[in-house]
Parts: sequence; C-alpha cells; structure tokens
Amino acid sequence: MAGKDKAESRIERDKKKPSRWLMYFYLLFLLLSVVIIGRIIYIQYIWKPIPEHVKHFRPSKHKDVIDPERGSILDHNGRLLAISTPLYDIYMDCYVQKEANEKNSKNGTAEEDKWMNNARKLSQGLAEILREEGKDSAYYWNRIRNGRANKKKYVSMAKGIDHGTLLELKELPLFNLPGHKGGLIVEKNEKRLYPYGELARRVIGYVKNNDDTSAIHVGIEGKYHYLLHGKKGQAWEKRTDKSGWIPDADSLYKPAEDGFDVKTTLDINLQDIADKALRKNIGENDKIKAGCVVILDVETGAVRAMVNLQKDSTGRLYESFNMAAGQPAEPGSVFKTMTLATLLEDGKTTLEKQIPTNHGIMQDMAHLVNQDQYIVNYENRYHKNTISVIHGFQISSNYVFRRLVQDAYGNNPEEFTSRLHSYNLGANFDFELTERGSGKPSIPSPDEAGWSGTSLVSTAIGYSVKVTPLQVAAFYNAIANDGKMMKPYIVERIEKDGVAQQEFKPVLLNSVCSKATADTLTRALKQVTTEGTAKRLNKARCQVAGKTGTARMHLTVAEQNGSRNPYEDNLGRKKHQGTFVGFFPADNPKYTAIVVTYTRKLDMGVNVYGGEAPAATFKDIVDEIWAYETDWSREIEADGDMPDMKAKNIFTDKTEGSLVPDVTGMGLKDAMFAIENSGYVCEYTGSGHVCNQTPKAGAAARKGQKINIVLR
Amino acid sequence: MGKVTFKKVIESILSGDILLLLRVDRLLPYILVLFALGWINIFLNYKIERTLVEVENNKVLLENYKIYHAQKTYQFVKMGRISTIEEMLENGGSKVGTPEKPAETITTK
Repeated sequence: MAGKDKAESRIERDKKKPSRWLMYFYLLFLLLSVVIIGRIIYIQYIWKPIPEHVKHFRPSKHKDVIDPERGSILDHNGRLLAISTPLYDIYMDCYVQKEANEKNSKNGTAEEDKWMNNARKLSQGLAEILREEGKDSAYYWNRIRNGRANKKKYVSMAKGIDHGTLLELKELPLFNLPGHKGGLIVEKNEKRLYPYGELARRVIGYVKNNDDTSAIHVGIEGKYHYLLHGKKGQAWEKRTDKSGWIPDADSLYKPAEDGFDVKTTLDINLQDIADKALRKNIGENDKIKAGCVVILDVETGAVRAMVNLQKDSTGRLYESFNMAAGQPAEPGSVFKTMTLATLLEDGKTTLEKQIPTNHGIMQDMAHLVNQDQYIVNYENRYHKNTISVIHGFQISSNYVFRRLVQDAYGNNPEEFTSRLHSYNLGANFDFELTERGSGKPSIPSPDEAGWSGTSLVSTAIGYSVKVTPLQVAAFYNAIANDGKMMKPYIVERIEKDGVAQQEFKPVLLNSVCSKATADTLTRALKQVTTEGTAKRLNKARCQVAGKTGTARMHLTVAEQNGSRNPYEDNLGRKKHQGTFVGFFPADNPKYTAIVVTYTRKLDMGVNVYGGEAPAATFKDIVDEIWAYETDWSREIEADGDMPDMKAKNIFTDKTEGSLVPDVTGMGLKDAMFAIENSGYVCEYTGSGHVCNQTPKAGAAARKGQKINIVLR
Repeated sequence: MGKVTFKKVIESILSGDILLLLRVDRLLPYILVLFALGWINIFLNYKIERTLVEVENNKVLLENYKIYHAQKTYQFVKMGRISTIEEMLENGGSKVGTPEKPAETITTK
C-alpha cells in the first residue's frame, strides 16, 4: 500500500515537473537573454562604432543655407524700380527611359515610339509657348532627337523663363511627368529685374543677383548693397520616411533676414519724360556724343530725375557713367549767374548799371583775352556805347562779366573766390551716387600756383572752375528757393515691409544769397528766356527762368593728338559742352532742371550751343511735366451758386415702407446682403442662383419680416 | 510569500516563475501605461513628421505663389511706364495721347 502511494506520489510530482525538452528550451532562451543583455551593455558602454558606418545608419541630414530676399528699390511714389525674383532655366534629360525601353523586349519598342511621339508634341508646345526668335518646333524636335541619339542628359531648352511660363511648360507632354520619366530639369536662379529697363539704370545700378558683386560700386544697388542684401540664414534638415526634407528641430535654425527696401526721391514719370526728351534731342544729332539731365525739387533738393546717356559706336544711346554727379567741367556761361549773384550780394552792381562797351575789348588785358563779338553786334544793332548789366546777361556777354569782376574784385580776388566757395562749388557735397572715377570740382584760388592774371576774369565767365552739372543745378535751385541751398539727395527712406526704418530729411546747406538777390536773379534769368539766348523757351507751356552756357571742353592728352592747346587737337578740332539750367514755373518754382550735352570733337566753327539741343530738351521736359502736374491745374469757378446736393429716394433699413428688393438671379451671398441690408431676414433653400422669392420684389413688407428665397 | 533567498530565485528562474516571485504583476498597470505612452510617442512623432512634410510642401506652394505674384507685379509695373503706354496707344491707332495741359479743377463759391 505504502509502495503504491509512493509510486502515485512520484507520478504526481513528475506531472508537475516541466518536460525535459521544455526545460532545455527555456534554458536556451535564458542563455540568449543573458547574451543579449550582455551585448547591450557592451554596445552601450564599451563598443565604439566606426564613423564611416554610422552615417549610413543615421537619418540623412544636411545644412541648408537660406538665402535672403534682396530688398526692392522704389521711386518717390512707391513704384518698383528694381525687384528680385527667381527665373527658371529649363534643361532636358533626353536619354531618360531609353535604356529601360531597350531592355524591355516585350513593350520596349512601343514605349519608345510613344515617348518619341510625346517628344514631338513637346517640341511643338515649346515653340508655341516660348516663341523665341528662330526657334520653331523643328528646332526643339532636332535638339531632343539628337540628344536622345547621343545620350545627352542635360540639354538646354530655355533660359530665364518666368513662373507663369514654367507652369505652362509643365502641362506639356513629357514635362507633365516626373523628371525620371519625362526628363524635365528645372533650375531656379534668382534674378534682379528692372521693370523700367534702361530708365535711370545708372542711378539704380546693376546687379545680376543678390550675390553679384561685380558692379557693386555703381548706383543705389552698389551704394546700398549692405542694406539691400540682407543676411543669410541656415537650417538643418533631415530626411523623412517619405523622402521629404523637414527642419531638424534638434539642430540650429537661423532664419534669413531679408534686405531692406530703399525708397528713392526719383519720380519715374519725370525720369521717363527727361529720358525721352534727351533721347529725342541728342539721338539724331551726330555732333552730340552724350548728355545728362537732372531735375530737382525746389523746396527739398530731392533729385526727381537723373539721366545719363552716352552713344555707343553704333550711335545707340545707353545709360552710362554718372556725368551729372561725377564729371566736373568748366561750365561756361551758366556760371555768370554765380558771378552776378556775388556782385549783387556784395553790392558791387545792379541789373540796370551801365557798362561802357568799348567794342568788347578789355583794354587792360587786350593781349590776354579775346574781343567779345556779342558786344560788337550789340553796338552795331543799338548804336550805343554802353550796355546794361541785365542786357549783358541776356546776351551772355563775356566782356560785361569780365569787366564787372575785374573792376569789383581786381584788387582783392580772394573776396570773389571765397564767395564762390560758399556756394559749395569747390568740393563735392556728400552726394550718395558719386562714382569711383569721378573728378574733383575746383575753384581757383589766388594763393595757388596756377593763378594767373586772367584767372579772375576767366572764372567770372565759367572757365578755370570745374563744377558738376548737379552742383550747378543745386545753385540755381537755391535761387528758386529764395536763396536757400538744399543738399541734393536721392534716397529718402529705408523701409522694411513698408515700415520706415530710417528717413533722410531735406538738408539746408546754407543761404547763398538774400531773397532780394534771388528775386533780382530770377528777373535776369526770365529775361534770358524771353529775349535772350534761350528765346526758344519763350514758347514753353509755362514760364521758365534759366541760363544757357556753352564751353570748350578740356581734351585728354590722347585727344589733343600732339597739340599743346588743351582745348583743341592738332587739326583745331574742339569738344563743346552745352548747358541749359533753369527753374519753372518762374514765379512759383517747383522744379529746377539742368540739361548738359557733350559733343564729339568738332571742326573749327562747328558748335552745339546751350540754346540749341539743351534748351530744346529743357522745353520738351517743361511742356510735358506741366501737362501732367495737377498742382498747376486751372481752377474753374462756377459762375453761379452750385445747388446743394440733396438725397432723394434713398431707402435704408431705417426707412419705413421701403420695398422688398429684387434679388432674382443673384448668388446667395449677394441676395442675403441685399435682403438683410434692407432690414429683412433672409431664409433660403437650395443652391445656385435665386430663382424665386417670397414676398415678391417691390412688395411692401414690415421690417424684420422673413424673405424666403429659392436657389437653383 | 516567504523570504526571498538566492536559492529560491535560482529555482524560480529555472521554473520560469521569477516574475511572479518578484510580484511584477502588481506593476502591470504601470507597464501598460508605459507601453501606451511609448506607442503614443511614436505615433505622435510620426504624425508630426507627416505634418512637417505637409508644411514644407505648402511652403513651396506659397513660395511659388509669391514668385508668381512678384513676376506679375513686375509685368504690370513694366506696362505702367508712360512711354510704353504712349507706344501702345500709338500702335493701337488710338487718338488718345499725352495731355497738353494740366487737368482743370472746378471749384464752387
């Protein structure tokens, strides 16, 4: 019995015991777990991975440089003068799918035929959309076909196309497929665009893109590059499972700072008018090689237009070196106004003062200066032996001004030259666009080595001095502005998203003369345009006060061609600078303008005077600006009293008894607006347009009543 | 439960009931929560990544619209030049030209 119990108890114990195989299995796993844990500890704390291997096991990352957007350049009225935007270059992988088709013995030939058929359609589409001269569908078809035959994977199809065109191209056969099937390769390049083309290009400057530093010293693009450029940013991006790239939040992210916008004082309409007038008057004149125009706002000195045109070897005019701000030269007779201002301000003369004519000969220096033929003509015409200062100014007599200055300052020339310095003519004022290579203005001084016996009288008529057209314009602008000289400036604001960051206000340089002197000078300048050397401006649409000037130009040593005279070459040929400068309307000036033309070397006796092309250009400018300027519009006063306007039959939601509006045919939004705005409540069913309404249109209904509309 | 000795631990390891010996069953809710948190973490990361991909795609779209807008603005500005308008009017045979005098204004007494 006991033995039986013992045996049963063993059987029972054996039943509870796990089977031997299960035990081995369990032990195996136990051992594996120990190994794994050990391995984990080893990898974590002891093992050092090989860096080359690591990069393949970590998610891809790359650093992306974020380019800033270059700021825009705007005109005085906020119109865009320069803007940055990407343009696209289109290339094609002509060999795409070719290999796959060749390997595909089943459908390869059919697929290839299909591809080529699509390529033919693509060629046709490219020709129709791009419409490039000399590039028809056959041209594109040949490129693609040859490219495919010669395994070309990067064939240029179009350059510099805009986004709209790109979208159109992406609709074409093959180009509407992913790149690895259709072969389309798009390269985006940031480009600087100038909507007004050549207009004011020298002032605006030239850059191809934001990183272009080749023409960085030119124009506003160059001067304000540090503000326009902005700051580059950077971001790390990681690859996602879906092969997209997303910002890696664990890494550095530095956003790009877009560039500032630069708002200029230019008025692009005035620039256009000035550009057109100058082109018209010098374009066909083969004696003139170049010209410039500056228009200033009288009150502020802001530059409203600055044109610099030169002819190339084919005679085409293009914007070139900023002559207006950077080419000082002897201005000739326009300088007589500075001389007259000095004489008047110092009380040395009046406009009515009479000067003995003396046949136009400076007796005390007859061997040094030429006889003035204008005085000879005057004597012959009027049979007088005296001439008034204003008449001398009107006919631009050199003799009169030499005589006046010699008599007034002969004993103390420094008094005269120091006054000229006070007009800011001796040095460049800090103008933003003074270019590299610009000359230096100068006024001679009696204590300088080059001062001679004729320097004083030479200065009086605009020789021996060197001033830029901009400086001359600034002086005339001071006369128009009652003697207050404003500093010419061309940038008025630095902006970011339309908000001003920095503003440049008008700067008063100094007072060059009293208001009385300015008025007297204006009277003399008006005389020039009504009866003097600029009579052609008498026909201008508004009265102009101004002065002509014609001066010989200094030739370079190469141009002199062996001659010892700096003004002419060995054949006696000379270059001339013709100028007209003035302001308008004469009695209440708003703009000052200067037009300067430069001739090529001309034979003896041939000339271009300030009263010709420059004055003609000035007249065209005045006429057109006058027509556009609303400030000068004529006011028409009504003869009788105008009746007061009275509201009649106007229904609002406050009006009792107003009628239900007709909303038939309207969309829901318009219908609801009309009903609710009339004081009713709108209820609608359906969608589309109103086909029925209750109550009917025109019915009287109380305010707040429901109007049911049915849309279909 | 009696005192946990080394022998018992070894025996329970061999018999496969070590977790019961350690009373891990009491920690089961926490383990489940931990598991759920882990799962939620993975799920959210996945969703965030997908959203970021979408954001990047939308950024590209916005950028394209911006470019399109800039280029259209450029075209409009280009057409707004006085000379261009005059040329277009002339080419179109229009009698409309530039004004010859400023616009007159009517004022009342």
